[in-house]
Amino acid sequence: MKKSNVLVLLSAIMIMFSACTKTAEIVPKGKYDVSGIFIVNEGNFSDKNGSLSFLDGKTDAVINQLVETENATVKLGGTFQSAKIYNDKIYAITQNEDKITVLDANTLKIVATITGIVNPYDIAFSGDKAYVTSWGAFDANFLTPDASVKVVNLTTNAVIKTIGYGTYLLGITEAFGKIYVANADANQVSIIETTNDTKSTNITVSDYPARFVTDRNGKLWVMCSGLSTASGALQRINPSTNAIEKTVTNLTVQGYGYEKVATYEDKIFYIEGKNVFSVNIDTPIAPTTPTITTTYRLYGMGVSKVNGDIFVGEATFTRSSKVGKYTKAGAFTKEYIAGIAASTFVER
Amino acid sequence: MLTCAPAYVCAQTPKNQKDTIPKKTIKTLEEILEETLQTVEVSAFSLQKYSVGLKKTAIDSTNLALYSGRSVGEFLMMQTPLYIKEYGAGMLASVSFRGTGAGHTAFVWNGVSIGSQTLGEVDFSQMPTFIFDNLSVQFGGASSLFGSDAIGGSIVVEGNIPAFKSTNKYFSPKLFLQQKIGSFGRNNTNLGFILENKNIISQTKIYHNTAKNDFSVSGKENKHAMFRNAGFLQEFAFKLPKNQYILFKTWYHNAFIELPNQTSTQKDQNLRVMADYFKETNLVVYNAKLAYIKDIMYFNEEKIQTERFVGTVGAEISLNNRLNIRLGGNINYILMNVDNYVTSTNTKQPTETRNDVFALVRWQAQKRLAMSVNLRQTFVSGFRGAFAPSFGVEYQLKNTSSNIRNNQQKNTLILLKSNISHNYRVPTLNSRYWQPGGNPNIRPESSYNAEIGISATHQRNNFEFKSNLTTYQNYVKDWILWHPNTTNGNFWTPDNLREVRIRGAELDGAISYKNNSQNRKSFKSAKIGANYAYTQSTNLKGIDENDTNSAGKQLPYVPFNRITAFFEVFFGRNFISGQTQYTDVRFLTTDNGEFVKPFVVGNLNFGRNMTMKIQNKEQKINVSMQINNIFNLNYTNVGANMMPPRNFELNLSTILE
Repeated sequence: MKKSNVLVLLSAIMIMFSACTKTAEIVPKGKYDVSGIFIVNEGNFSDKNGSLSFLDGKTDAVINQLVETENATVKLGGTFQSAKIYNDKIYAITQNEDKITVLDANTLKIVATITGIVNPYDIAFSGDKAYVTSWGAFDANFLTPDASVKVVNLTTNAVIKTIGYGTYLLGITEAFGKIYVANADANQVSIIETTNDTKSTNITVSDYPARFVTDRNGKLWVMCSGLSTASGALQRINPSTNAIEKTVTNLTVQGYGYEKVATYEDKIFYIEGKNVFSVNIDTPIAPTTPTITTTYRLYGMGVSKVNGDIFVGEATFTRSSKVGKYTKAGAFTKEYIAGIAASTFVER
Repeated sequence: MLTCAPAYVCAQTPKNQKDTIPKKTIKTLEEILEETLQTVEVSAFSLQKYSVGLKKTAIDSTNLALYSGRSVGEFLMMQTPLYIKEYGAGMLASVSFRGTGAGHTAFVWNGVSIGSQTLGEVDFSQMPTFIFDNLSVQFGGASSLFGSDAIGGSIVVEGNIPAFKSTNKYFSPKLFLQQKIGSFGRNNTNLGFILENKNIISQTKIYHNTAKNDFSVSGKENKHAMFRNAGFLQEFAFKLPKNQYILFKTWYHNAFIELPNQTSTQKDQNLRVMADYFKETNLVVYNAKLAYIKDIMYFNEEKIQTERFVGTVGAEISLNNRLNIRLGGNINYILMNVDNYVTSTNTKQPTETRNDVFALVRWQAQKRLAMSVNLRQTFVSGFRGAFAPSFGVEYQLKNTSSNIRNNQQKNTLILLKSNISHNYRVPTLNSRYWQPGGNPNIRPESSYNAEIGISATHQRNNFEFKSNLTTYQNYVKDWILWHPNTTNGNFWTPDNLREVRIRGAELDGAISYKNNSQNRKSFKSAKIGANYAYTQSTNLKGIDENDTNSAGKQLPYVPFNRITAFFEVFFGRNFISGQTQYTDVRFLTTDNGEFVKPFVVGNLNFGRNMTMKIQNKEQKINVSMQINNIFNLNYTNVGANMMPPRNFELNLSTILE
């Protein structure tokens, strides 16, 4: 994510530079080449109706069903577990479809699909490669003996290597040139070397690590949802030493699907019930009062890197989710309607 | 009429048709069916005589025979206004009958409701058409007759009064064999066997159906979508002295299903055993029934099992065919074996008792006027029961019959019908006992149903015209929905949340023509017909304070418009028939933000009935071909679940006597 931001920034500077020298105005590369936030709507499991929405920063309005609108009614499908932007492309992971749809982030046209990955969940990038957590096929007891990280060549969009784990894998991220995998069943964060795509060390963490976020100091935070509702944990990992530097335990969080985590300035945000909580990155303690209390149960959450606006998504699977926008201090600003089960927010 | 169905499948063909079909010197299959008609009467113990004022359709068994090897769900989708939510070819198929939910249709097999007790709904993909001798679709609420779940309507399977042979004391065997093969690994085998004499009738049916469903649509392959089901039905009817008889029925069904494009599998095992005793006197028919039903479902390796013991007693008093009174009651004892079931007192493997008492009255007040008053009270253990009354009336606005030239008759019947009722649905076992989430305080769902209809039949020479127009309104409250627990915990919980008003209209019509020509090679008969249903199923309120965009909207998976149409032509020994259906938009969400596109499916069936001399006996052979999705349209019914493109089936069947 960090790297992609740098790249986006670089390309933005280059565009400005070239624009200034050649003509007086910036030529947008597409309809969606404006500031804004993409909303991942997970969809309902049985209806497979995951969708992508865009909160246009200029008009302050949400446009729904982007993929269908821009690609002649091609459905994105479900369950839409994750989307990340890399090199001006959106990688949209739909788990039931065993598919990653690659979209041009400016036009939302489908430029490629990555197939051959069974039950993909999350994606991370390093150089010209992507790393995808894959559950593989479930066995009869709903275990994932074939779970692995698939390495994808981003030029050919083909799987070039399978790194097997056999245990349930969730979030994945890049930090310090290495890949960090939330190895949920093993209660470990597993590290992959990107130079030769082999397994490196494992860091033992709290129960059920699920998703990552990198704070402003480049430190990695892992959200562990625990095995019961009051046993969640946030842990700070220093990616240069792989040491766990901070741990907050006894966080009240819900289980699978609700482990949303985001950061702005000196705070890490997470959700529980109708609340958004935050902990300080330097002196983390279990919060007693929420930053935000909404009127509905939350499923999604994200924070703008630009201004710290906090976005929340309503936990509904049978109707469109409400999306709320709050200031970084927690004051309500606006409400929008997105797709089904608005879960994560991806800033351009 | 000419499709090669076993005689016993075709017993339900409407009676008035036999009078218009002339006898011929060489027996055709049609005539075998005719003979069956003369000896079989629909049970005097039928509950449907009390459903005065409600719309009902007896399924033409020749139509049903076209679907042998298919499920009742596939049949209903193509030939009735009911919407079947089919999750892929041969996959889970639930119903939305008159704008209601999947649990709001009772499937009543010889007086016992056989829907899943855990999910509270019927999987119509696991109901092979071949098994059912008589199938009728009972529209509208009828809990007073059929108990829980009969809110949108009911599918009713009722046996015949056994037609014991009057003179022949020897067993006369009749064998039916059918083999179908089709695209995408479809293979259906049906076998039927009847043995009968003066005192015993034995009917055996064995079936095996499978399909790989390995089709591709737009380059995308439908993977992991195989299904296989097999089973048998064994029925015995014994004639006892003094106008008594007893029926034994055993139906075992076994299914294996791969959930399409997933890795999960489902296995079903259903055992339904019944003993049904009748004693007829001039005034009273007595009935006692014992049934045992065991349903096992494995979702992957997770086992879900219920066992039920059902006992029913009833007596029907008939006075001059003017007044029928049925009194009775039944006991339903349910044993549950589901890992996640826990009662409020922390008991594992709970049991539940559901008992009903009922009183049904049908009064033919005048020649033209019939009325019914039906009452049923249900008692559920540890739980508030429900009361279901209904009142119905039918009036013959016109009933004329006159002779015209050539000894032919002109008949006209115009019938006005109306019915009002209160109906209920006992909460499913899942919604009471499943932990986490199960809600022991949940209430039964409740529905107030009113309908009014007019039906017209006109017969002249060889033409017959039939039409029905029905409008109804159904107010359903305390509708149970599972929703994410709003306060804490990562689980869903059921509550009496939904309130719905359904308004709808149904129009159907059919015209048929029969040729009286004695020429075997000439044109014989033709029939064309259509069904149209308009269904407005309106959500009256949001399920919580944030659900601000759902009130006033159409319920998910209830199409506003459905049309089905069919034709059939019999020419000599050849026949051709076609069916098509149109299903309107289905919304995915309660705020109607997303929908699945409308779709059209058309099927064409053609073939030839032949006879072959085997050991000096004319044996009947039918060869036919069916083209499904003949327009080769790319469609989905539920969400993005793929449906098959154009595909073919070959059928070979025979009746040997």
